Amino acid sequence: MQIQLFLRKTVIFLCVPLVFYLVLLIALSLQLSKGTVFSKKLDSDKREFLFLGDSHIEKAINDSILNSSYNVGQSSESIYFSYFKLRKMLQTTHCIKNVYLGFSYHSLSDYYSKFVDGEYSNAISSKYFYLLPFSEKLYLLNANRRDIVSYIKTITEKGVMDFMADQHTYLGGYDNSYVSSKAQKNFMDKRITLQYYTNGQLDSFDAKNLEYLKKIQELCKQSNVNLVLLNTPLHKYYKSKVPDAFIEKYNQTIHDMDIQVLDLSEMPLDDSCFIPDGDHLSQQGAALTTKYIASQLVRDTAAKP
Amino acid sequence: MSDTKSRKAKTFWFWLSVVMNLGLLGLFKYYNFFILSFAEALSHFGLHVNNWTLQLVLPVGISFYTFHGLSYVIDIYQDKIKAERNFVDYALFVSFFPLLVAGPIERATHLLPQIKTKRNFQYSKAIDGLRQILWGLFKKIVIADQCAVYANQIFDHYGTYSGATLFLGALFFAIQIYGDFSGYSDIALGTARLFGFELLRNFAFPYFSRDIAEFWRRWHISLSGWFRDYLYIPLGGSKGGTWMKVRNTFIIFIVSGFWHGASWTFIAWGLLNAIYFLPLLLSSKNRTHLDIVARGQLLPSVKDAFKILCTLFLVIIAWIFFRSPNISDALHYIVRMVQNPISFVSIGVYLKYKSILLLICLFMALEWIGREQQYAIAGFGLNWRPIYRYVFYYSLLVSVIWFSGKEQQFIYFQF
Repeated sequence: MQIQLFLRKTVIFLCVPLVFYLVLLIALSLQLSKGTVFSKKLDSDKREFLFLGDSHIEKAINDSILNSSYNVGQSSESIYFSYFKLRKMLQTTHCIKNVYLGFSYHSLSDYYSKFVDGEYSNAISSKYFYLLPFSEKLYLLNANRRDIVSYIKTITEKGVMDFMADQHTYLGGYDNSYVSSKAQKNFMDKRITLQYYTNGQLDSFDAKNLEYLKKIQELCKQSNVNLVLLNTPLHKYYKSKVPDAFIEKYNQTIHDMDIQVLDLSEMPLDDSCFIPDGDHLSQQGAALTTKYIASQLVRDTAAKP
Repeated sequence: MSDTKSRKAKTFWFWLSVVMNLGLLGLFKYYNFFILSFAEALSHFGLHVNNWTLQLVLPVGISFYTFHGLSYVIDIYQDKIKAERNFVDYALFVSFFPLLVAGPIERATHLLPQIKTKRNFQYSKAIDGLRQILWGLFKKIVIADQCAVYANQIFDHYGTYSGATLFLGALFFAIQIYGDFSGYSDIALGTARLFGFELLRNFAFPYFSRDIAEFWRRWHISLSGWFRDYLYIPLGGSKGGTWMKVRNTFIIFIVSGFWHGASWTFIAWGLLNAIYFLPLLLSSKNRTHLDIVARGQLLPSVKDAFKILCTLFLVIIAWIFFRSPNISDALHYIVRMVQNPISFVSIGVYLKYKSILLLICLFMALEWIGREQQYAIAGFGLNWRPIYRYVFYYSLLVSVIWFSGKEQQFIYFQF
């Protein structure tokens, strides 16, 4: 009898926080998956140009100097997460007419899978957890099963913080603190190695990113939104080191998809327009690039009948 | 050994067993140390020998179960117990899982009779066991592992920090090693209690000790007791003349340091503690503080508080040797720590570590409140309304879960 009482009380003791936690998780999911933050941020200012992607977009587009635009780029955001983010934005807002999706050679590299279901999943995928459909949530929980306590802790922490601050870690935005920097060869070499090679071997292509790129194209078509792939400026030394296989795959992908591309990868910019890795722009580079895109938009608008 | 009638034969079997036990321990743990030290000593005379080191994996907890087994052999030799005839019972005594890797070092006279006795499940004991496990987990994951982050950072880069930061680093390590080891002991004791076993108490709030002698009666009690009964007393204890007392004190502390690992830093740590202890022993003040400090009172007297802080300071200095990779680093650490006393009044240093310092204060306050119990929260809140008590337990549980995920290895697993 005593052992039954002990077991019953112990199970109840442990179940109480478990039930409390599940209720909290469901409440956070319901609240944060609404995506109301998008309509608040975009519809109120009628932002029709949306810039979406990873750290290249995050650092390259200063939306404060580009009318009617909004930058939601975020470091290490794979196209897989961009898809779900865009889907929610298109569901909850009405003003988006043009989507500029960051797409470059490194977007094809399998190194991006580390951020989705690999070693950096805990830090990166947890930002988007509440935005994802149930099946994808299960997929990420399963991908992080070896460190499940830590993962659950991270998503709870981020969820509670987002809820309390009425902020959203998945939102992103222009973020560039590099003022007086310049590209440096040793950093560019390291960057190339990180993005395209593992243990000296060339990385394979990221099937998930390619799959979700096509899904984004379909989504934009269905939503009657113009999609443009934006390849932000690269330092010429960095670009010369990009493996040929990735350049070929990039060209083949945009050819096969028959999609509009704004390729600025060879835009002539000084060393000071880049941060040391030659792959991202400094504040100065971001200003020049944004102004260039603004001039293109003015020209396109003027050209319209 | 137990069956033999001849004293000579009994002694033979006894020493054979001791040599085999210590031989295995020596081979795995100390062989490389002696060989390397020997080679280094010869190199000072211009002689160079090949290093005959062995690449052996050190079995987890070998020091614990070797001493565990030795206590059984010594107790039989001294006719304190009879040899165990039931192999299963003996195997359970030697390999009882809660204490297998990091103690407490049990005595055959204490644990074997419990194994032989039929145990009935007792609700109150089991609940107490769970409470002690929860407290042990809190000490390990919330206190020790958080202190470890700062202690590791400061010890690994001690050349770049001010004196005050280095002192905090040593304090963080002192709290870390206490939380880590006593946390493990609490988990072991609590787990054993779930099965109806009472293991030897290993810690009794050592950081509230008023002198080093009291500290050693409260720190790693099962090891101190082992050395007292099986080494110090057979050597003559403190009954002989002054020379005998000094010799035995140094032997027991140096062996205690050496037990922790084959490194000069552990020997220096033991030596330093012997130096701390000796004046108390020689002035017959080593048994002044036998009772818990400020029993029945909320706060200690100013005199006791001063004594506690002085003792803690000495202990912290000794821990620097224990934590440092070598003697040279330990000495440099201490020199850097004390050479700029002005930095100790820099508020900025303490503000930088305010979160962890606040956590330590909270922890030590709980320890102080519960210092008359077996473990800090044994009686904590038992008179409260259940709702408040459960809020307290859930706070501990949630903080354990919250801080888990980046656990550090238990320090004493390496011993």
